[in-house]
Order: sequence, then C-alpha cells, then structure tokens
Amino acid sequence: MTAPTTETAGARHRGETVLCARDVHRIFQVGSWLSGDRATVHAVNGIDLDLGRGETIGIVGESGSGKSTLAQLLAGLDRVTSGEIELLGEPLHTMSRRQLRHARRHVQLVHQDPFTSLDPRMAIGAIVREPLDVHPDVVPRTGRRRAVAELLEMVGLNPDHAGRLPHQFSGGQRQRVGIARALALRPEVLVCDEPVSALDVSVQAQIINLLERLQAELGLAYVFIAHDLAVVQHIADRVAVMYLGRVVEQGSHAEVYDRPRHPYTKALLAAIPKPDRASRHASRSLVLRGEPPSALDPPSGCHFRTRCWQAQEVCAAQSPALLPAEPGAHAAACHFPLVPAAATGSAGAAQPRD
Amino acid sequence: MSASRAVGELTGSNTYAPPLVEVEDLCVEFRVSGRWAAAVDGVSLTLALGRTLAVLGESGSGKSATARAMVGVLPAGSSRVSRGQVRVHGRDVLTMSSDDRRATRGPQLAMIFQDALSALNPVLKVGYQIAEGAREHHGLSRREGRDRAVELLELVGIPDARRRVGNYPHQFSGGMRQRVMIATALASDPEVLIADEPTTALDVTVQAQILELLASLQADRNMSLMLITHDMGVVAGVADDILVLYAGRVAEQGPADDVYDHPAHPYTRALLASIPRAEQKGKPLPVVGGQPPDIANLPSGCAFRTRCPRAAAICATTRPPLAEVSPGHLSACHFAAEVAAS
Repeated sequence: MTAPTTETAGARHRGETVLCARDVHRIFQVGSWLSGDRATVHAVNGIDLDLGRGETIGIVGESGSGKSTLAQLLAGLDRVTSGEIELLGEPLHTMSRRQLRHARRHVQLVHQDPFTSLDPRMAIGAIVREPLDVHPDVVPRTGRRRAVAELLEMVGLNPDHAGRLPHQFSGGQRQRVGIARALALRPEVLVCDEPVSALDVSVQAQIINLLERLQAELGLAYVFIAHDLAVVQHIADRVAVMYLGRVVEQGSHAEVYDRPRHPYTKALLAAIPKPDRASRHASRSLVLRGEPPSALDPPSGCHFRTRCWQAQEVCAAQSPALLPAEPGAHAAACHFPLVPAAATGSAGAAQPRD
Repeated sequence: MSASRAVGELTGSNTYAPPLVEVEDLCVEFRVSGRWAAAVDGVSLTLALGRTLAVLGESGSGKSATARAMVGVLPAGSSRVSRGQVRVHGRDVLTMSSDDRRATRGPQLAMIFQDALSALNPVLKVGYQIAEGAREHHGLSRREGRDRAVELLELVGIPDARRRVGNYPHQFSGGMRQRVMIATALASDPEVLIADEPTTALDVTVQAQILELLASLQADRNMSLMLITHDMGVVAGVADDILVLYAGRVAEQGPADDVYDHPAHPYTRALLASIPRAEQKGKPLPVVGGQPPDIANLPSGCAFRTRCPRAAAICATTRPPLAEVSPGHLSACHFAAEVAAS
C-alpha cells in the first residue's frame, strides 16, 4: 500500500519497519444492557500502516475519526478486535499481558493534554522516573536519578527543578515532562496523540522543534496524530487522512499536500487558516457543510458522502476501496478522485473509476 | 491615551461613525498569592461599527481579562479594575450605578466563550437560554421569546430549529453548541460581539464554518466584532484592526494590513514566523524561546526583553512607550522603526 516514497521520506527510510498494522479493526459495544439500547461503534475500520525506523507518519482526522483509538492500539494499550499489529517484528495482538507489558517499553504514548495527563501530586522527577521503576532492567537503580536528570535536560528542562510539581510549570513545559517520561525507556516509537493541540501557537513550534531534534538524535519513529493538516505538514514524511474510522487518503507529504485526490483532504487543506493577508478577500469556496456524522450511525457506502460536493448514487451504495489511481500513484478511497489539475485549481470531479 | 485617539480617528475617518466602545488605559489586577498583580496594564482600544478587531496574545497575555473587564464578568474577589475607562457611546460604564450599567452594557455588548459546554446552563433548554437576553432587555414574553429563539437558531444555521429549541445543550455537537452560544449572544441585538477563542476547541472544518458565520453576521448586522485568539492564522482573513498583547501590555496595534505586512514589534514578528508552513519543512520552526513571564514578577523595562532577539541595554532600563510607526500603527518597542523596516 505504500507508494514509492519520494523526497525526504526516501532519504529517511532505512528500510527497516518498526511498527506495522494490517487490516486493524476495533469495535466498541456501547449502551447499557439494562435499557437494551445496545449499539456498536466501528472506531477503527481496516487500517494498514507501515512505519520505518526514524520515520514520521502523520495521521489526520477530526473528532470521531478513530485516530485516538488507533493511537491506543498502536501503543499496545488496547486490543484489536481483528487484524494484526507488529512491533519490531513481534505480534502485539497475540501477546499475553505479561509479554505485552514488556513489549510496550518500545512504544510510548505522548498524550494530548499536559494538564490532565500528569499526576498533580507527583514531582516531575518522580513522573519521569516511574517508567524506570516499572521496567527495572532498563537502568539499574543506582543510575536512575542521573538518568532522570539527563532526560529532563534532553527535553530542555532544568534538572534542578525535578522536585517541583506539575502546576508550577506552563503548558509547554508540562508537555516536555510528558515527552521526557515517554523517552525514559528508550523506545523505538513514539505515538504522539495531538501533542500540541492544547498549546499556544508559539509554544507548539517549540515542541515540534524539540520532537524533530529528538528524532534526529535518537533515531525515533513517530506516529504523529493531529486534527488538522497544518501542524502535520511540518513534521510528517508520510500522511494518512482518516474519516470515521477509515483511511481515505494516504501518501507521501508531497502527494497529499500538493496533489490531494480525496475531496475530504482537499477540504481539510482549504480549511487551514492562512497567516497572510492575501487570503483576506479570497472567498472560501471550500467550506464543508455540516459536521462529521456520528460514528454510531455512519452513512452507508462512502462515509464522507453526506458532506461531499460530488457525491452520487454509487457513493451511497458502495464503499470505495483505498486504491491508487494508477500504479505508482498514492492511494485514495473515492469513487471520483480528484485529478491533479482539479486539485490545484477549482474543485472538480475526475472521471469515475470503475 | 494618544494611542487610542489615533486609532479612533483612523477608524472614524474610514467608516464615518463614532466609535461604539472606547477602552482607555484599562488596568486589571489579579490577586496572586496575596498581592495584586497587573494582568492588563494600560490597554486602550476602540470598537467601531462594522469593523473587526482581533486581539492576539499567548495564554496569560491579558486578552481574556481585557474582554471580561469590558463586559463586566471578571471573577469577583480575585480581580479588580484598578484604572481606566470603558466608554459605551461615550459613557463610562465602570463608574455608573449597577442598574445603569445593566441597561447600557447588557443590550449592547455580548460575549461568547471558548467552551460552549461550560458556558451554557446544562439543565435549561437552549431556547430558554437564547431568549433570556431578549426577555430581559426587550421585555419579550416567554412565547415571544421562544419564537425569537427559533429565528436566532435559524440565523446561526441550525437545521430543524423549531424542534431543536426544546433541546438541552448536551444534545448538540461541539460546533452546533458554539452556534447556540452565538445565538444566545445575538438575542439582545448587540452592537458589539466579543468572541473569546470561539473556534479553539473545534475541528478545523467546523472552525472554518464558525469563522464564516461570525464574519457574515458581522457584515449583515453591521456589528462590531472583537475576536480574541492566540493564532494569527485564524484572524488573518477577517480582521480589520489588530491588537497584540504581551504580559498585559500592548505590544503592537494598528490596521491589520500594516501589522501583517510590516510587523513593528519583534513579538508580532515571532508570532507570525512560528506558524508552520509547508515551505519550512525539514528546517526548525523559528520560535520565541523561553516562556511568557509571570505577571507578578515582570522583567524591568520591556516585558518582552528576556525573550527578544533584539534586546539591548536600554530595554532593561526603560519601558518602551507605545509610539506611532506609521499613521494609526503603534508599537511598544525601542527599535520599532528598524523592526518594521526589516
């Protein structure tokens, strides 16, 4: 499913896949047994993913797209309903709990909200140290204090502040604490679930720079999850766009940003606020109507059709497969994918694909 | 003071309308560990009919405190307005009796908040909450209020308004809830709408819808809109005037074209540069190093100097005055002219 990677992605690829997902599904049962009001939510619906060493894949989606559920699955914190996830060649989906706990040190999660994800009564030094105590074989007991100081320094915090509590730090500094904790076990993969969404724009830039520096120094691979394409465009080598549990478009940075083929990707790109005054009088021709439908009751066929400006009967009847238009092109799940000319100019439909 | 007059004259000459709201030398203090610290220090601004003012700044820059002081919803006890005037149609609302204040400010200034879920009352139907302003300030009956609520829900683009008017806030999605709050704010037919980070908690596609709704309401009703945000990208397309706050003080203010094209304060420049763009891929983003200062313990002289790439000796000794770099465009930097020219 990966198209031949071009540009920066190719340079960073070192061949080896550290994390891979095959046809991953996660279905939740919701509602109460008592009221009989049971329903299922197909939160993650057939996702394929390959992450190379030192590579960053950006996953973009709005609320309800299943991106956070996917993050939990990839980090080994939740179990797939069906499908396979392999971390460093080991299958996560078949592991016992004990094996899973051991495997999880190689993949760590960075949470969205640094205000609620840190224990308010623990000093930040203790927060960063905790994973080392849980996995005692990573650093011997006598070296842990020093390891914590190094981790704090690595993320740009003063090791002398290890005794302070989270509330004594700003949002950006707390996110640095979260990153230091995630790095404590020297993981191969960081799954960052909207790591900068709760921060001011100026602080977002600091955290993104920190993540890029750490990646260069430590050879980390990132799964970087965000709700818009603006943040991801700076950090990702490859991008997957999710909508209601499915990937609707996937490709290299250049393919997705310069030649979007799915209407939803194009709308997301159009929704990025431009920080220049030239956009002032340009009418926003591509503001999507409505909001993402409920995952409890997704539309039939293509989930996006209720908000799509080129939806036709076939879209309600058949779910489009995630396919490249021609061999070598990047994949999009649309019956009427945009052609590159249309993608750069005004919105228009391409010829239907059979 | 000369600052607010300069901006007022400029807006006045553009629209031939007297300013609706003039804020002059506003100071708001918060109680920080037993002492009063200035969260807003000497902010002057003007809101004119049919214009949009964007107020920009990081968390703790005093942008929300300014708005809350204007609308009169600062937390009592832990905060106070220590200096300045908020004039609505030329009358200072801060020195009025509370009845006069309600009668003046209530119908003319409305505010919407970032988090609609906590700003709306969870146990009252949205129709009742929307019509509250109209009942209070225009003396509508309950039945008339309900009809008004339906009209307003239709205006803000909620489908099936006649049925939805009887729903509770939790029955709406995030974007719809933000629309309900906008309807609530419009109920008393305000001349001024203050929106405090109205799109921060929303999905991007919904954010674009809400910004478009605000812009079209502003144009149709010829309202004055004050849009508070930390993201320069969000307001680039809608603002007529810009006010940049740092540590409670005005860093830069003026017409949006001037501020975007020739930012005259290093902080504004850094805010603009820190927005991720595709062409910067592979390079570190330019950032403002460090953290915003603690308002109880500001650096001497210029509050921004500890993070400023241009800081010189004078910045530590003298607080830069807010001075004009071009007509109506003001910057509080000792090197404003050089920054604007670079």
